[in-house]
Formats: sequence, C-alpha cells, structure tokens
Amino acid sequence: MELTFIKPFMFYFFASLTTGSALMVVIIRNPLYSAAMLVLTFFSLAGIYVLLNSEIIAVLQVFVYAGAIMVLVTFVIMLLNLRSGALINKPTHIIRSVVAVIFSFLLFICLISIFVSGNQVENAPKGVITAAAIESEGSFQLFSRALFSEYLLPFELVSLLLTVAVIGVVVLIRGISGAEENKQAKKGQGR
Amino acid sequence: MTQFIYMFIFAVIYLLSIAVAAGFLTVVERRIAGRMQSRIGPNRVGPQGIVQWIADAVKALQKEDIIPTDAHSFLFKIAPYLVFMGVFLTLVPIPFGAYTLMENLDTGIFYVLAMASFVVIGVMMGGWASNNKWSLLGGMRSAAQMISYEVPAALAVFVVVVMAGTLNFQKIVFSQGASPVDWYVFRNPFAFIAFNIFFIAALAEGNRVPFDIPEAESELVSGYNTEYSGMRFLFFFLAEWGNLVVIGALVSTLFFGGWNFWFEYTLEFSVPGRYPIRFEVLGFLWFLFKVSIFVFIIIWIRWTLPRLRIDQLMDICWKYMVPIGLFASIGILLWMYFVPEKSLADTIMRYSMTSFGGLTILYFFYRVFQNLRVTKAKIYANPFV
Amino acid sequence: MLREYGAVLLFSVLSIGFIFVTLLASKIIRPNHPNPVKNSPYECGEVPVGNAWVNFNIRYYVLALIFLLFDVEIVLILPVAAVYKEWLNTGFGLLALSELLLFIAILVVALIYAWGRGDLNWIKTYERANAMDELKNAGDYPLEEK
Repeated sequence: MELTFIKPFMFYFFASLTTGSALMVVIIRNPLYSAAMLVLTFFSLAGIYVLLNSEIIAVLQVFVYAGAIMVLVTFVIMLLNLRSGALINKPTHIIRSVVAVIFSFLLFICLISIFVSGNQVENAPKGVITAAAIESEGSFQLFSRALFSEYLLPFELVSLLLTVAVIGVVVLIRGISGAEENKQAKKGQGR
Repeated sequence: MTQFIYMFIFAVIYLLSIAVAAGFLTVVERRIAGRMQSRIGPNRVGPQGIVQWIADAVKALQKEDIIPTDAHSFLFKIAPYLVFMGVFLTLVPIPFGAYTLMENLDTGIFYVLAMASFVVIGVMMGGWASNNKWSLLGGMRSAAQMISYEVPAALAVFVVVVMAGTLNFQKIVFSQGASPVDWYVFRNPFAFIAFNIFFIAALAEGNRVPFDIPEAESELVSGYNTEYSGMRFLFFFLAEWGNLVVIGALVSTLFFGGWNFWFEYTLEFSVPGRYPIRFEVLGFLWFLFKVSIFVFIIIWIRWTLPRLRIDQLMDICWKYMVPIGLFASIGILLWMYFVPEKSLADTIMRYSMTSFGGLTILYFFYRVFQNLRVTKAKIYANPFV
Repeated sequence: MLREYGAVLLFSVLSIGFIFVTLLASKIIRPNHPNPVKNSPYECGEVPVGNAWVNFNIRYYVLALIFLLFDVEIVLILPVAAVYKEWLNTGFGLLALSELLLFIAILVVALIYAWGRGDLNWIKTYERANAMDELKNAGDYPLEEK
C-alpha cells in the first residue's frame, strides 16, 4: 500500500489534536467553547480508531458522542445558562481539590503502569479478529458477527439496560421538571 | 502519490458539482415556486435565468460581513464550516453510477447517519453564537428536530439493511435490480412503509417545509442564520440545497434501485499512472433522473403544505413515526423469516405492489387531467415562457 | 481502509479549504464600515433588551436524553441487522429472529412507558392545566359555558 508510510504521521497528528483539544476543554472558561473543543476531541479520536483499522468504532464514536452526547451537553449548558466564568467564580472547597488531586494521581499511575507493561500485549491470547481477518472480510462484518454470536447475552442485556435508563430518565425528570416548569411559567420565561 | 493526485482531482470535481448543483437548484426552486404561485420567477440572467445563481454568488461575495457585537465570533465563524462539511462528507459513499463513486465504505449508510451530527452541531453553534433571540430559538428547535427525526430515519434504514444484509451502498444497489419489481419499495408492505418514513424524516432532517420550524420566516425571521450575511450566509444556503441532492440520492439508492439500468454504456479514459477511469453513462443519467424527481417532489411539497407547529412536529415524530417505524422493523424481520426470497408469495407480493404503485401514479395523472378539463384551465407545458 | 477514510479526511480538508478561500476572497473585495447600530443584534428594528442567552426550557434536555437512548439502540441494532440475512441462510434463522424481536420488544416497552408517563408530550398536561386555571382565575376568557 502506497499510503502506509503516512500512518505514523497521521497518528501523531490525531493524537496531538486529541490531547490538545482535550486540554482546551479543561482550560477554556466559556462552557460552549469547551463543548466545541470536545467535538474536536471526538472527531480526532475517531481518526485514531480508523488508523487502528476499526472503522465501525470510529463511526459509532461520531454517531453517539458527536451526534447525541454533544447535543445533550449543549442543552444542559443552555438549561443551566452557564456564562463564561460562571463556574470559576465559585470558591472551590479545599477537600474537593485534595480528593481531585489524589484521584487524578491514581489515574496517572494506572496509565503509566499500562505503558510500562505494554510488551505484555504481545503475549496476550489472540482472538478471531486479527489484522489479516480484517483485511479479508472487513472489520464491519466481523464486528456484527461477533455481536450476534459471542456477545449475544450482553447484547440482549443492553436493551434491558436502555429500558431501565428510560425509566430512570422519566422518574428523574418528573422530580425536577414539575418544579422547574412551574417556576418558569410563573416568571413568564418558559420557552 | 499518483493515486492521491487522482483522489484529489475527483474530490475537487465532487466539490464543484455539488456547488453547481446547489446553485442551480436554487434557481430551479424559484422558477417552480413562481409557476405554482402564478408568477414567472427569475428569468433575466442568462437564458431563462439559469445563471441567476452566479449573480447571487457574486453579489454575496461583495456583501459586508457583519458579526453582531457580543457575539462569540469564533463559534459564529466556524458554524458554516461545520454545516457545509456535514453535507459534503455524506457524498463520499453514495454511488452515482457503477463506477462513479468516491469510496466504497463498508459502514455506508451508518456513516451517512453519523455525518448528520455535523449539521446539528453547526446549526446549534450558529444559533447560539449570534447573540440573537431569533437565532437561539431557531438553533435549539432545529437541533431538537434533527435529533428526533434521526430515530425514525434510522429505523427505516434498518428495514433496508435487513433486506440487503449489508450497510454498503454499492451492495445495496447490487441487491436491487433495474426494473421496478426489484426495487426495495415494492418488495413488501413494510419496505413501502419504511420508504415513507425515511422520506418524511429526511425532509425534517433537511429542515424543509413542512418541517422548516428552525427558519420559519414568519415567526423567527430566519432562524439560526438570522445574523449571517454575505458569504457566510451563502454557505448555509449551499448546504441546504446540496442536502436536497443528498436526500434524493439516498432515497433513490435505498429504495428505488439506485443506478441500475437495463442497458449499459461505459466510457473508458486511459490515464497515466492508474488503471483506466470508467464512467457508465446510462446508469448515471438514470440515477440523476430519479434524484431530480425526488428533488422536484420536495420542492413541490415546500410550495404546497403549510408549516407545522413545534408540538405537532414532535408528536408526529415520537407518537407516530417512531412506533410505525418499530412496527415496520418487527414486520420486516418476520417477513424475511417466513417469506424467503424468490418464493411464490414473495413474487406475488412484488408484482402486485408494483402494479398498485403504477396504478396510483396513473390515477394521479388521470385526476390531474380531469380537473384541468373540468376547470377548463390552460396548461402551459412549455417551461420557457 | 486507510485509503477509504483518507478520502473522508480529504473531503473535510477540501470543504474547509473551499470555504476559507472563498471567505478570504470575499474579505478582499467586500466593504467594511461597521457602526454600532449595524452591529447590534437584529430584533425587527427594536432596540434589543439584554442578551439572548436565557435559561432554556427543560423539555429540550428530556428530549435529548430519550434520543440518546434510542441512538444507542440504533447503533447496536444496525450491525446486527446486517448479518440477519446471513444467519437466515445458514439455518439459525429462528434464533436470530427471536433475539432481534426480544431486543426491539424491550425497547417498545421503554417507549410505551415514557409515552404513558407523558414525557413525549411537548406541552405537558399539567402545564396546560395550570395555564387553563390561570386563565379561568383571570376571568377574561370564557372557558366554560355559563
């Protein structure tokens, strides 16, 4: 393949884009700008998935995260009407920051340990889905077949999980929605 | 490297053709609208006004670019990019002919559904960043509408995917045939239901009347693009009319046999550094004909139906189209199980549905001509008046 | 695979480039005379009051949540639908059919539940009732026959 030599360059491009935009999500003070940066993160992650030969995951990433989660995030920002710096002006509790530091440190250690033990991946048992199989049959067919045979029970359980989630949404909304909408109706700002 | 150069050339051709098609369609739509409202429409620039769109583009190019004070200028500027990209990227896997296809993506229709999210995000950002109440309302409504109608559209796609056994557009086209009997619309009743759902949902995703709540002129000025002017505004326009082509192409690929034609006539161009470029003319023209019929129907609907209210819109989506879509997807699973392909029942159903569809169209024309006879109206068949 | 999605990347780069170049060309030839009135948000000629960013209604949030769940359903069901025909041909049709039917049926239950609780209504029933009450109390709208 003529284009294979580009692969590492593409990886570094997408990886730096992902990390850079993810950093921007945290740094930028305006919530909507952070949301825009989050979209960029999702898209560049999708690029990395494509480089890993798993187009289906890339498309799922765009479909679910950029399509649904982003809209949800934006609606939440609208709902709470977060202005630029609205979150910054609140004084952060000291215990909260200590806990945050501890947890991010633990996460960092986890990541480092994965990198250190990275060569163990070579010895891990290999499944049916190998690079050769993807080349011959396409990752999409393999993914669908695996979903329907090996992972049938999880697949069915997911539908149950989704139903539970719908019930959760309905119950949760019932709690806030009544108070919120009545308040808004009284203020005359219901839109 | 030569491969890349050819890919680049093809991509540029795609870009130019979608821009020209979108521009041309704006003129066509205005001419049709004129006729439907007993007026003439633009007919001054070029023969019968067909290059009106170039004049419009040149005019927009010279217009001052206004960004309102307190608007978030970065988000305001990137919104047209996202919207245009969302429409342009959907063209990658759509086959316009046997060989006229950018890349044969395995994720096909799934990829197209995913790319719709670009448009949603772009519209939402444009609406939010403008610091205008109309824009904000339009953008939010638009996002709510587009995400809602993605569910019935995907359920309709599910029906096609079950019948074709693949998501790949080219394989979906191959599994249909040239004659109407082999088209997916007339295969079984559930596919016909799915076609209707998909078409309506595609109208809603493209923000077309009767689902044009996001840019309802009479209540929201112009919706999410109220504050946009000049070229930036033009790109929203380009995306909207490019979307018409995409909708037409999707509907005819998924349900109406795509580029399948009875005969084929292939041109071959030998080029340096690559196997010859093939271009199948008849199938391509046949496909364009199907696409233009659907585009005409969409324009026709726009100038015929009134706009829906937002609560009616949401009710139609969640209380009618989603349940009907679920019904169709359950039905198609059962149908595929109990009626195997090429069995007697399958053949009878195909032929009866095709004849029913043909008769419906004939009856429509019969009624039209009868009405014309009764009202003694004159027909102006010549479009170049 | 790399080449196919390379085309996608090329298309996105090209569309960005196209818009950028056109806007650049437009920037060279267009006039630029801003003034405060011209740059104020358009509100049909009125002087705008406050800015546009107000609290939005919670119903959009509910809608996005329910959509998210159906989105995940679609994501899972489309790949499986693609191999349904293959399974029919290999003789595991009944298993595949029952599994898919079960999956859809459970989601139908979820839809019916949300519908039954009234969360698919854009205008909520209690909201409507409240509005009616207020109108009735105001007394300037004859809701009931005298």
